[in-house]
Amino acid sequence: MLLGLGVAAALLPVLVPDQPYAVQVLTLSLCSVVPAVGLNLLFGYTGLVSLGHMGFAGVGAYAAALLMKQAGWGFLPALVAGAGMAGIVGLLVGIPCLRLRSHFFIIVTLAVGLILGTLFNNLDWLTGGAEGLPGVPRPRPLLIGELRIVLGTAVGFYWMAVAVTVAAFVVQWAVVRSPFGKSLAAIRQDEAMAAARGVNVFAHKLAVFALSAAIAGAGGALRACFLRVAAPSSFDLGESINLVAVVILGGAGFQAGPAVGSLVFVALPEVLRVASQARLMVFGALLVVMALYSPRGLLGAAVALRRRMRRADAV
Amino acid sequence: MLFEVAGISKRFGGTVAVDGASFAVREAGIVGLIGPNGAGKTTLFDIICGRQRADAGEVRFEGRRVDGLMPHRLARLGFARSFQECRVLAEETCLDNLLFAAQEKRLWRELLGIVVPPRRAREKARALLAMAGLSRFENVLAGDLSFGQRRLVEIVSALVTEPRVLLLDEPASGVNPTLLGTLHDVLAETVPQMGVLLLLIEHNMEFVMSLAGRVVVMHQGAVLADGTPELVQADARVIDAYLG
Repeated sequence: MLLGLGVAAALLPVLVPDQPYAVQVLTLSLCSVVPAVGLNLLFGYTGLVSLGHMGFAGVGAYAAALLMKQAGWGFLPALVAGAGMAGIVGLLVGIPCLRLRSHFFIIVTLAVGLILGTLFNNLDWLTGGAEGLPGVPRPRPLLIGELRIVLGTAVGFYWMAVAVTVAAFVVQWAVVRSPFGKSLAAIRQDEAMAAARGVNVFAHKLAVFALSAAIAGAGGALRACFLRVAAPSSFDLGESINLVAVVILGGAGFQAGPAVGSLVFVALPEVLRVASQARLMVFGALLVVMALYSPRGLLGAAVALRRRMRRADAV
Repeated sequence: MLFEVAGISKRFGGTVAVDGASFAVREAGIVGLIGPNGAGKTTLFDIICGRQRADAGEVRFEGRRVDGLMPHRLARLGFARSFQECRVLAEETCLDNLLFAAQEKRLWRELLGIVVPPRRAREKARALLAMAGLSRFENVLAGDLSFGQRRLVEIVSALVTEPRVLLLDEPASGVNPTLLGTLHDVLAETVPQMGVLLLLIEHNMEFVMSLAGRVVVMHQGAVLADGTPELVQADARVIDAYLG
């Protein structure tokens, strides 16, 4: 399914040319797919809810923006550095926070998101304050031997966003199927049991928290480069809550969940022209319905539906 | 000395749960731990498993002090346990439960495994599932099994790690007679073969007396009697306090 989505996403501008608006909307949703993949690893697979995850995306965004603006770095190195920076911040934040359990942890992540947001807003000398860091340069063309790939145009940037997103999904896939992923799933299902089997629960949580923050940071860097500004409003509490909504909506713990969630949450309202105001009301209601009838999100509902149809066939 | 409990005491407020319990085990085998409710068996068990800290006393494994170690450290020393309430990974299949138990758990090895997928202990896991009569449930989610079957999955998951010390807390409770027979046979076959020390808390006397080569009786937080099943069953104090 993911493979199909990836190929479809890459071919879209070729098959349906001259749709600049659609390309913009899709790029914007990809900018939220990447942090959602990070949160999915943490929340969907390990069972740790973070209500401040866009804060880490912000760290990645500001780090990348500063490196590109001030130090003249290219986009990809800046993205990697931004992800690394977010991962380090995640590691440092995780050391005290992950000692807490369940709802205490959730409340602290909320505080972390607020603190990071406040820092973005007020460290004028570093982050430009409420104005943010405008004028993030467009990515330079990529040169592979004789091949020159233009990334500055809308479609070029879209392809690069697709590539970054695919990379995030590949990381998620590799982690989920690995022994590390199995231990994370065990921690989600029964922490005491995982520990009795030899899992160092704290170290594992810390590792996945840092990884998840790093992926979010990559998403933040992508967004800053797309919007050409790193602004605090992109990484505030509301955005963090939206990210949790994206993951739940798509289906926490499903590999394709973040993609489905973002398409529905970001792209659909954009296309239907009901963005901003109505979106929060509609999705608030939708989340309540989800919580009541399909706690595993849209993909969970799809899986249940397919199972029911199979059973009906068998009868 | 393989395993030693020396003068363990633990109090909760004014209640003394364990009061200077001591026993030592020279070699691998099956040791039953019995006693009336409130005798302190489970508290002692929790202390050995690293879930609680003793107020006084020591637990030693091969001469090394192991009380107060975190559960994951104990697991890496070769300790495996079951839980009284039975804990399995409900959302995984039976086979995956065993494969998870068998995998190397050190973080850096696991992180390395993201890039280089390690070999998995499929054969060993399948063999143990077959021994427990669970082969046809291999791909069934553990949460969908009956309680007795889940109990078997939990115990063979512990066995697949090839532990040195296996701690089972009331494995027979809530298990129907047929599965209990299977459990009995699995333990009677694997424990001597693996050379593991099995410490068994149990209320089902028939089960524990037929398996254990030695029985430790606890009463009011201390060891009341210690010896072969025949000796213990004939002990007047044990009959008085527990067997009745």
